[in-house]
Amino acid sequence: MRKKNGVAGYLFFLPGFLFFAVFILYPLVRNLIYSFYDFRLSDLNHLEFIGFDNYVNVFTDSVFWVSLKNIVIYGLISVPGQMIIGFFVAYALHRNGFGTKTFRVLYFLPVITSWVVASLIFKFVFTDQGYLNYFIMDKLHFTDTTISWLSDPNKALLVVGFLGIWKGIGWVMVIYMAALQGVPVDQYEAASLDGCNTWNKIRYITLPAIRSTTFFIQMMLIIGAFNVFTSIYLITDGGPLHQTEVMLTRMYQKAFTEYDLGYASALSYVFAIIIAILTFIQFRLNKED
Amino acid sequence: MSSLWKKIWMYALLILGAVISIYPLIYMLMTALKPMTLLFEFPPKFLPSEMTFNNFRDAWVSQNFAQYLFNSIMVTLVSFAFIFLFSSMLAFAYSRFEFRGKKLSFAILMGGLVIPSLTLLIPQFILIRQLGMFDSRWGLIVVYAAGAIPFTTFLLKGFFDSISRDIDESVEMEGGNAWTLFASIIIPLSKPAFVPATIFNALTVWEEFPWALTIINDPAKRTLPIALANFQGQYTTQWGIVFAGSLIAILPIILLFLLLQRYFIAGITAGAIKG
Amino acid sequence: MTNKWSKLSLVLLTMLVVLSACSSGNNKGNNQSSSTGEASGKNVTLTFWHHYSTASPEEKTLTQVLIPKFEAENPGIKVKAVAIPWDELHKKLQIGGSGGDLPDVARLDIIWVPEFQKRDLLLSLDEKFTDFNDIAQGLLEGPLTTGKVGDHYYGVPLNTNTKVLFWNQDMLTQSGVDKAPETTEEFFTALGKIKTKYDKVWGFGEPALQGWNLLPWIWSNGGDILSPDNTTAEAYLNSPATVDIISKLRDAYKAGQISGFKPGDVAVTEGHASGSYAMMAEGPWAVAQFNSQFADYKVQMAQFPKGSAGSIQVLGGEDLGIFSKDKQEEAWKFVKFMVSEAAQVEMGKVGQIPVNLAAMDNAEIKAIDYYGPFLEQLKTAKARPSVDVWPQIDGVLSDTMSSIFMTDKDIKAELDAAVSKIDGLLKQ
Repeated sequence: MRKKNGVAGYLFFLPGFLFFAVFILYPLVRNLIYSFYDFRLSDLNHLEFIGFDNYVNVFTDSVFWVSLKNIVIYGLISVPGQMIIGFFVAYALHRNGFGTKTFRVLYFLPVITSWVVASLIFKFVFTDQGYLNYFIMDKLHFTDTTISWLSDPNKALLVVGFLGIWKGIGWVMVIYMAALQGVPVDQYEAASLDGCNTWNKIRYITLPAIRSTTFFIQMMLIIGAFNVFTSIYLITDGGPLHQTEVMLTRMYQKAFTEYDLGYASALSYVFAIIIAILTFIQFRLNKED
Repeated sequence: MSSLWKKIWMYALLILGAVISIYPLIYMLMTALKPMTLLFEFPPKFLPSEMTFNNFRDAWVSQNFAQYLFNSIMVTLVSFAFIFLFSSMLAFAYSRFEFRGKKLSFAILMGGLVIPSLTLLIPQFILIRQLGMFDSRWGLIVVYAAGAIPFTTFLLKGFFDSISRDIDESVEMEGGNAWTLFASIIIPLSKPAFVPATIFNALTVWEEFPWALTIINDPAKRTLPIALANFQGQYTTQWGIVFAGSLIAILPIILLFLLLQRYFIAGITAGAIKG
Repeated sequence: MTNKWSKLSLVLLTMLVVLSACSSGNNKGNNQSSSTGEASGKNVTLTFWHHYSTASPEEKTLTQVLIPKFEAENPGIKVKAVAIPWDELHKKLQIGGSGGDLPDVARLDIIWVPEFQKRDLLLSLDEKFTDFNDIAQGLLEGPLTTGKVGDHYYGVPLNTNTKVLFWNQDMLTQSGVDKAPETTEEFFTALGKIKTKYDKVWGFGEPALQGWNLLPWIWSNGGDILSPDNTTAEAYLNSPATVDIISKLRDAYKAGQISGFKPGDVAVTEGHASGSYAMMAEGPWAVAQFNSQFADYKVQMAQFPKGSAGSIQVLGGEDLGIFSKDKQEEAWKFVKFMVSEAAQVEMGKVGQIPVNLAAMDNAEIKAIDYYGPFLEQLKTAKARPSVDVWPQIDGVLSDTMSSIFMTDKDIKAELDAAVSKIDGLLKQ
């Protein structure tokens, strides 16, 4: 495999990278600078150097630790949920059969439904007198006491995690489906002759063959979990008592309710470093396997 | 016999999943079709006992909805022109060339995948104002396009990598240069890869709200998400209109998906994702 | 090959068309702003930012009745009204304030005025316009003070409001309460009776735990949040009178008699109309909502329950402020028009309580029967403290009260902690 060197490479590389550098990297560097300043929304023209104070404030803020814990819980619910369900849906639909095309479209619709709308609807469904409680209490008669899905932090995280799963299955399905097309059919046939059942076929043939895809999906979903915002913002707004706060809702609140942009910048860097470390660990683990 | 049962089970589960998948959209449609008075009825009724299209009419006529739709389409199309031009060139550079700083710049670019756009709001605002793009659709376009470059480059690079290098050599032998290879071979061969890139990026650009609200002052330049937010009042919200408006807003994306979905899976296949 | 090229050229062509359409849009915008910037004698376009929600009757009155009327009366002045959601408007003014990207006139929540004044964004009206006092004399005293910071006026009241007690007569009668509670004591007794009769509903709904929600309780009980000169919360927010009423409210919450502020709670206004909350304290917009969405519900209103200090509700409403640097005279004309009797009557008809004295005596306004309880309540209503850090203080209050209500922590200790936080904010 031969690669070309010289000017031509730069000509292809530079326009896009410069564009990215101006509108993303440069603001990112500005943010890094702000994180060492007392910088407030109430006066964007005023900057006062305060060293690491913003970072100290982040780490001594109890809500920061709550939000970190919540991200982990959200990730533990939504990432495996999306991957497992998404994989099985993909497995069921990856070869053309009766109605598979329709199913693919239906499962993908949540991906293209807007986060705002989906969150509002989940909120309607899960409020104390929403559909779900009506169904559980008045139709199925499982219980007599109202289940407060959204005011109990653990249940609220479960609801938001469920929303994440609902919204993400279609995406995982599509990526897995693409990967499954690449698994040679004759391997399955050989396994069938050896008397392998479906489960063993998945375990010994399919999963190893699509390992790199699994790694890719897992990484993207973990990044996605760290970026969860709209659903929490609209469904609980971090409440009650900041118990359902995540990184981005906290950042938003600090920046736009408390006007503390310096703190918000520092928090975004802490956040970026955590994701970077996680990604690094994942790459290492993937290599070792 | 057991295989038939397996099939029945599988279809039952698939149908259940599909119902859950489309339930919110249906709920939204049903709510939009209800007259105001029935919105908060208890016990809740799924099907409206009275149907009305007034919410759709109100959403459409109350603001310059058509103008906002036009703006959204415009901004999305031009953003896509930028996204595809820059990302495909970048992906080509990473796929076919060796150059100084290649690894580092790629790592930085991929780092862009993890930056929540919300964190950049203030510095981008200051930058856009310095560049004189405040209160213009260009201000939206450049930021949307730049934000979409990492993921799109990643998708396209995967696809370009899967195209055999033999082609490169045959182009070279026929006297073609790098641009010939890029424009007349790689890009046409990679058509399928642009479909998933389009769909994955479309919704992000289409429903973006905080940035559009921050830099657009002139109502004539507003995009759809701002129009939708304006239906929510300080004390009361007209949910029927909000949902009707949202349905109108989401329709173009659903149509785009239905139109392209035939090529969608094919586009992601062929190594596009094998990073 | 030709096929490919024709496709490519088609794409390029589309891009060109789109690009040129975009840029022509830009040019138009630039021309507009430059033409408005210069010549003040010819055509001037005023930008007016407001948060009347789209498709609401208020917005229709503004754009279809008032602005056309103003433009007809003032040839050469055009008004461009821009709707922005309430909280976003605040943010947009904050961000825009740093670079001069501001409207000429804006409708401001009364609590924002001190903040924008402190940043030197608002025009001092009484210093700039000689006829300010003539206009001010025709306006209601209470709302007028919301535009005053220090010795000068930076806003003119546009509309006012406050909250009254809404009560479900049917539910209260069934519970053995034959009239709306008049005092705090009667109120808490009624809550108990309602709970006994109806297990699954709440006696009172409160949608949040901010100053807007809690101040009426605290004030009516003789407490306060800040000292009269707004310099400290010490001995006010943690005073016995404040602790007393907060602990009563907490007991009622723990007994399942008050709710509405937790995520997942039934929305208060809708829930009141559909029987989830027997009582609530809300503004005139609730009446409008009942009329349009819950036509069957019979609205009953009464004065907010009296405490040891009386029935003191919180003053709400909006002011008009002028941000303009180069079109101040025209902006002032528009402000005067908006607070004139005619404009105030029009807005009054769609639920915006007038601040113009003549408008309040106007027959059309007097004919609106549901204004009665609000006008009565307005007589004793008080404005929230006029400090620039109020939005942050509100955040502290909300956090503290959530913590008091949802945990068993000591009320005095929590309030003491809030006092030190608030005093820190005030010293900034």
